[in-house]
Amino acid sequence: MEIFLYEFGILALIGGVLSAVATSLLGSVVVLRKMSFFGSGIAHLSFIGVGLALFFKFPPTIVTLAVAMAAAIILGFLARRGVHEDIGVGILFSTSMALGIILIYLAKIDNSRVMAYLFGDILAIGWKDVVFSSIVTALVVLYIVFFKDHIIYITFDEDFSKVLGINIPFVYYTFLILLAVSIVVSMNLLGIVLVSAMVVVPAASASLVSRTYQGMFKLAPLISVASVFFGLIFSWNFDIPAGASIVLVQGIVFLFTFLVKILSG
Amino acid sequence: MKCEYCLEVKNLTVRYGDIVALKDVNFSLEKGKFYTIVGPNGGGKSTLVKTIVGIIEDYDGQVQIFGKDRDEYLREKLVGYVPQIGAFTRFPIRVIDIVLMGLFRERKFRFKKQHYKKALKALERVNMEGFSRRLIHELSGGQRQRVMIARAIVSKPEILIMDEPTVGLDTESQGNFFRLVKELNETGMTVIVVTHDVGFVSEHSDGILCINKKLVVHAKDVDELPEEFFAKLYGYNVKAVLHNHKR
Ligand SMILES: Nc1ncnc2c1ncn2[C@@H]1O[C@H](COP(=O)(O)OP(=O)(O)OP(=O)(O)O)[C@@H](O)[C@H]1O
Ligand SMILES: [Mg+2]
Repeated sequence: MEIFLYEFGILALIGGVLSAVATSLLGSVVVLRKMSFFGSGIAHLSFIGVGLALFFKFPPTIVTLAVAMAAAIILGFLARRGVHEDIGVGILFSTSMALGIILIYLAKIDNSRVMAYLFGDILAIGWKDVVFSSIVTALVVLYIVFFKDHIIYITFDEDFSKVLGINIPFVYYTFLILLAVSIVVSMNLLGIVLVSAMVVVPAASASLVSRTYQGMFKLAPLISVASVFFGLIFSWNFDIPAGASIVLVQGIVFLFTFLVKILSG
Repeated sequence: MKCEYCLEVKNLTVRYGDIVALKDVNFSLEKGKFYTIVGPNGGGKSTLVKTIVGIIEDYDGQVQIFGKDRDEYLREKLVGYVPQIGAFTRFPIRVIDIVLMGLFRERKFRFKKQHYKKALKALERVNMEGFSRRLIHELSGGQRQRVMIARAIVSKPEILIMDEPTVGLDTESQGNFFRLVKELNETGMTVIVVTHDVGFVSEHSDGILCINKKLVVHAKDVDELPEEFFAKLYGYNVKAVLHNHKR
């Protein structure tokens, strides 16, 4: 608990909790829509943004955001025309990493800054990041409160949501854009490599133990927030990288829920 | 009389890319009756139904419901719709939540007690009241079908269209289903059922539409149908025997 006596520890906790709430709520939809690859795809695609920003000396967060949102919209557009989200991602995934790497190489940036994008640094975030996270998380929570049923209906029975007159493109693209933004925010904490865990793992654990989709929306944020909390404590006590520690805790929770599920039949 | 017909379809043509599923279909249906739609596989029955309820957006021709253009009508009310049973993906949603979908337009932000009450009543009508907390994939095919019927009738629509609703129902449930249709009919609801069940058709409906890309027959009465009607119907080259009913 000692870590929370320091400002950086408190900032890490607040930032981590905010991003945990946002990613796990949207992650529940991701898991229900069976588009798990999408999160990691957005993060990898955003690496072009990092490359571009470093190359042209633009503010990285803004460029990454723009690239992530564009990627989400393009992939969503493909998905609505029959290319499954995960296939679209698979095609663009490695190409975008390659492009990012080339841009960064050409920009002659020193490796430690690149490492920060790949692996993030939750202990280095500032109040500005926290404010930004709060806004994003508030938007995500509002979206889930008002459009949870809409996006669930679209996922479960798209035809009937047309009968109901639901504005499918609006609900769907808003979801994708919020997902992209949340991923970029979490990338600052966990890095490109680990961010998809934040989206998928707590929601997947929740899906194992909750019977209904409503239950998932309650349980996934709880699991994710708890993982951030204990992940930070473990990282301090065992002197291991914080982001990796959080993701490891999430993985252990998943394993645990999986065992509970199997043992309880 | 404000409006003679509850449903008027004029020169309806629907395409999927290059495939023409329906071509120049014309018919009018009267309010409060029970109609059946028959036709071979791929004849365009589901396409017709999906066009009427608002799933298919692009079509040529006119679909008028109670004298209003389809989209105008659908902005105000729902046409009750029971989809053709397909592969149900595993999804963690309860029966009650599925029935509540039918009341989605009546709620402001969330479902309230009154919505739950209505949903439970609808489940009662299809004899599924004990299943409200079950997950949909924990039900048998016939039970799922009944849940879909509950979802369609919960909003008390003026028109109810069901796409092969009796598939997978046992004899007793079919009996219950007919009784339900009769009851709904008596409340003034127009009921349209797509079916391959010829016995069902001849016994119960007030009018029959036969669809094979074009509207082939619109018989007022089962007795009007020619002898080898059904034999022809499920072969190729079905000739138009009767056109729009005259009265
Ligand atoms: N989404 C789609 N994309 C392309 N073609 C389609 C689509 N849906 C239906 N079709 C085609 O349109 C035609 C009509 O299909 P429809 O489903 O309306 O037939 P149906 O009369 O309901 O058949 P069934 O008795 O098998 O249910 C068929 O040739 C079918 O292959
Ligand atoms: Mg069909």
